[in-house]
Amino acid sequence: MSGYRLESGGLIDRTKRLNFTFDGKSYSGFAGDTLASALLANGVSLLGRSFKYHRPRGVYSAGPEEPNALVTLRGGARSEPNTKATVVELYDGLEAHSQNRWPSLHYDLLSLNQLASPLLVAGFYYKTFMGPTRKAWMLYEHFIRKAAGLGAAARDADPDRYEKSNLFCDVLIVGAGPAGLAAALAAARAGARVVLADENAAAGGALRGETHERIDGLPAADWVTETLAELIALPDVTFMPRTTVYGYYDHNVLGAAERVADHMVTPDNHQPRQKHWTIRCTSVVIATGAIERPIVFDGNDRPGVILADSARLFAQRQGVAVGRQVVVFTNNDSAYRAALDLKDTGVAIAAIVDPRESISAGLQDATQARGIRLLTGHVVTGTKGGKALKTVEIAPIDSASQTVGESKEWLAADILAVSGGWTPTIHLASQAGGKPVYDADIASFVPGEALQNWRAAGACNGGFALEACLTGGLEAGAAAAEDAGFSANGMPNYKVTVPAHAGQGGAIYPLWEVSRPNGPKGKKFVDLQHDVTAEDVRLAQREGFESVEHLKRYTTLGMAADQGKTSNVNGLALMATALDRRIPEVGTTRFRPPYTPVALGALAGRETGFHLSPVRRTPMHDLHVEAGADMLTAGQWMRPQVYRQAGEEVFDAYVREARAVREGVGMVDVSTLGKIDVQGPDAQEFLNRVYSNGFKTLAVGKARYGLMLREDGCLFDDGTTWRLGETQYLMTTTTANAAAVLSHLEFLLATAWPEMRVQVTSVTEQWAGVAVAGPKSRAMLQSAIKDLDLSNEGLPFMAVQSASLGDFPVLVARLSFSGELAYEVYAGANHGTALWQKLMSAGKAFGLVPYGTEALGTLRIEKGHVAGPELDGRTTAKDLGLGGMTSRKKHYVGRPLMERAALTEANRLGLVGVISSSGTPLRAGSHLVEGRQAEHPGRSLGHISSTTYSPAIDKFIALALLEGGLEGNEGRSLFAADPLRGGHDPVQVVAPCFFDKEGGRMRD
Amino acid sequence: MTSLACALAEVARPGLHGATSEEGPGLTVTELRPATLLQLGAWPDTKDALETILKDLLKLAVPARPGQAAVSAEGKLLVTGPGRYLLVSHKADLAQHLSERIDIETGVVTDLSHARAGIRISGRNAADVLLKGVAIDLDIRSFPVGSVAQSSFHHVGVTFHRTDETTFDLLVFRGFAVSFWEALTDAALEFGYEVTNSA
Repeated sequence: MSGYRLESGGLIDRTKRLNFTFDGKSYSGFAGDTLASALLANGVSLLGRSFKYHRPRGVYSAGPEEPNALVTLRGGARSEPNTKATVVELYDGLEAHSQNRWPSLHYDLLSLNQLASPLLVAGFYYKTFMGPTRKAWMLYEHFIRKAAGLGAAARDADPDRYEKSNLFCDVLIVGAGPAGLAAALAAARAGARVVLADENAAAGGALRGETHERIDGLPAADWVTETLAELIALPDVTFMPRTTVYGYYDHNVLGAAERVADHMVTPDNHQPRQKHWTIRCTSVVIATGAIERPIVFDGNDRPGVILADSARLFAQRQGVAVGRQVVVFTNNDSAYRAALDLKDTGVAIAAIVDPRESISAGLQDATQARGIRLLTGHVVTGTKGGKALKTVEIAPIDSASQTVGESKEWLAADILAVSGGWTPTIHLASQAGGKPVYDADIASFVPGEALQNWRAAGACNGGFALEACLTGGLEAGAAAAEDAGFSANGMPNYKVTVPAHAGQGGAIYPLWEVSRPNGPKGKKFVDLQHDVTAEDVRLAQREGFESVEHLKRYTTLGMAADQGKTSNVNGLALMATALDRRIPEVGTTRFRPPYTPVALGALAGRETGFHLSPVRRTPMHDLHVEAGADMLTAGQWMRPQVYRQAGEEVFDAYVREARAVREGVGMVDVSTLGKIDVQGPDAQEFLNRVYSNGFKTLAVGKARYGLMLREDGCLFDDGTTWRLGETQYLMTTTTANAAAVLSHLEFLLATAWPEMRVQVTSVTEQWAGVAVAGPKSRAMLQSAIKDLDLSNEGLPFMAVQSASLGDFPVLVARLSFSGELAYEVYAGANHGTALWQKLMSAGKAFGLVPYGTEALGTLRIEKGHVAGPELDGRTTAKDLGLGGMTSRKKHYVGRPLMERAALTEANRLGLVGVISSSGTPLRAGSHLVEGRQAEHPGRSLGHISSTTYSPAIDKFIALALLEGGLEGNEGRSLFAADPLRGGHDPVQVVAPCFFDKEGGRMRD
Repeated sequence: MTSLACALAEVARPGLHGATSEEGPGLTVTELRPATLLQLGAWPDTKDALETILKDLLKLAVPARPGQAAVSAEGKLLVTGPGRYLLVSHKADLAQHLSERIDIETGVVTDLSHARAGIRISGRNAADVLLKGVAIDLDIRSFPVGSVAQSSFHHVGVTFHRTDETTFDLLVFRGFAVSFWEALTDAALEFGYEVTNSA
């Protein structure tokens, strides 16, 4: 093909030259070019290779419907595959690469696929790799994936920003063509908050670049400028260019992608490349226009075959002639406009080929006046050419019987401009509406019943004439505003002038496919992007895939990046023909979002990497980090795992920390524990019902360990609850279950016992908490706290008192998770750092050691205190040896179902301790088995839940859940089998408390 | 030296960040450090009694509906639900006064003074930043001055109050405050923002 830049014309700025590269070769274009127009202007006709057969392909359209000219834009981490060259705005420094070719676009060895094409028919994968030959897929997958496909995604992280935001308005108008602009004007003048979005960089739609049309005496371009200026001046109108509204969801929520900086090499500092908008509005006007449809014939995919109006638009908008010798093939009036306008710009028109026997006198005259050869009653039956079109085969047709005669002529041409009519862009209407309705006048589908609050206007509604677009837009905009509570009146009445050769959408002769009566039968493409041919459609029908939805999935017709914008109607028309049914009976597939591809980055927004999810920090977080702690996540919380000293591994550190607690004094941040303020006249009764053990006797100033069950009788959570006043309690929960416990309590208060006067509020964030544990904890704490006697008499086990630490108040509770003499000290969270620092400095004289979650675990496992791994949602209080804490004297949540047979069977998994007999570390998740050999482990008798090295007894120990529990198993030798990770170690079953069984240390 | 360390003390340092424009930064971001933050809850039959106490003590008219706030020299009262209120004040002794006046038969006072971090965003792009996380129509006609809403931003719960056309006071859970600040200021980068001294 030999496209070239016309001497004049177009919306480009010929003073602003832009340099770019395609497959490494340098070219230049002008501001206002698309990548496609710039390549055409440089005489480049071959842009890519097709999906399956690697056939050479060129530019097929001038818009988002482009099936062929897919390129990889940019390079490195910014490379973006499958970008349509027809919508890429040219910028200086643009870099693009062709796709799906090897070794190069011009010499693509994979085009040999064409020779195997009889095999690569619809259902190829199913037929070849299912049944007995299934294993072949493993062998060939790599080659098949390499041979067929589109571009490749970058493997590096995208360095650019993508953002998400919300947008609200009364009326959203999709498409800023004549219908959309008129709708926006009507809605805005009524006072509605209007958002007008258009996928293009400029408003105007089909009017962009038009030179003949006049509205109210103004040239169309001036009318667009004036209308847009009036709209933008209104405070409640937002015009969003480069914004594709791609999806219509329930409740009038629409998704849109704004390409903020895609037209630049890199975004400006801090600017997102793209921004995703979630738009919520009262009503929507869909003014998305229409897309020209191809006709299916042999070789209809060669570079040089192009949609007729697109050929015209390249001249109109970018001053580019797509070729030097054009044949126009059309079944309707609209392509005459293309032929005549092209002729007027100086492009030679070899002929207009039209299957209709006669056309309107006006068009006939205009054609004659320009000396264009008109071949009515003729069709194009085929093309020839390799990487560029050379000749077009013409044959007569009897339009009444649709019989094609013998070909008599080949016309030389480098461009074949085709029009099979227009397909309204009903994607959004289909997503949010009933079945599209077939309109025989335009031989296509128009929007069906609106199932949400939208109206279609203009070409998308099947009204192609400019006047219909404007009137339809005004009416839709006014009605949309009225739905939002505004009254529209005094609407303009546009006077429209269109050129005599504009043609009307009607007068179409439905022609889907042209077949030669004799002669060669080459490939006739329905879906150019996915290489689906007319024969594939018929094959699908013969094999029983008759429904359009089956047709789509079996042949992949209408899939891929263009979603069948040019192939959908032709495909189902061919299916209708094959089935001998009418098109409306066959119907169309339902469109699903997105209308055009949306970058995953835009959907993710800033929720990537560092910002993936929020992090929860305790008030002492920075102090832990400064102290060199290894921070680990516990849910969203960050907690210190160990405070490693120089040369220490995690193991060394936690053993040192745990030993320090047993021998001296240690301190751990427990701010993450869930804390719930429970207040009200009925608080005590409420607690007595939600805990399985008694809470009636808990005195003010005392704490009690409580067990909470689920309704099904299994253990839910545990923790201590402190009675701070007559009607005020501070409940603590496990870190992991804090939110679940709160909603459990709220649910009970709202539904089970609405009469109870109790309020529950999370105060987890209100308090910073520190546990000070070890034989020296009392002396150490007493050195810092002067106004509270910490002796056994002053603060006995499970007592809670307020005190002060320097200049701020604290709560001190005598509680122990470690089994040592221990205290929990709570202060307001904003005093958290001071709390930690004051205790650290008071602890210096006592050898205080801060410890992390690892040592915390060691200490509680040594004591056999259960935690998350044991409270796994399947265990009961009895299973964990806590049966004594389930009251028989009162009713509480979980009691009835706790007593059912399955939960009281003798062989249930029960809590035991195990000691590694061989001195090897044990792994949580290992199964307890009898078999001595790893290969023959026997069945699982239970599993290990929590493991640690115990400094107290110098052994590797664990808590485990074993069939039958401790009774009958104590002293038994078993094996801890870990077949996945490897390991089969002898263990001995012992009581689940390894240290200070009497508990004297924490009470003294 | 005070022992108080607010959640954002380390990150909310004064300075200019993000994009620059002739009009100056699109918003200012300021850590708020109210001395008192209380949650108040009435029982189903004591809403009027509780509101009378609040009205007398705070010298303000309690808004009739949830989602609104009233402001006086004593502090501001956010109505977060039927019979549920958040009281934000610079007066440190307010908790004491209220607890003395409100007995348990009238309602519940829960001290949350340490449980939240406060952030004020103010400027022509303040609403734009908030909209990146909050799916609430912030148009001045839909969300007028004095409006209060509870929503989430970057998966963190946030309660916010529009104090004037371009100013929002935000309250977030203390533990998430730094993470929230990072997300909020990141969202403000494209407009440019200035962090000012805490108020």
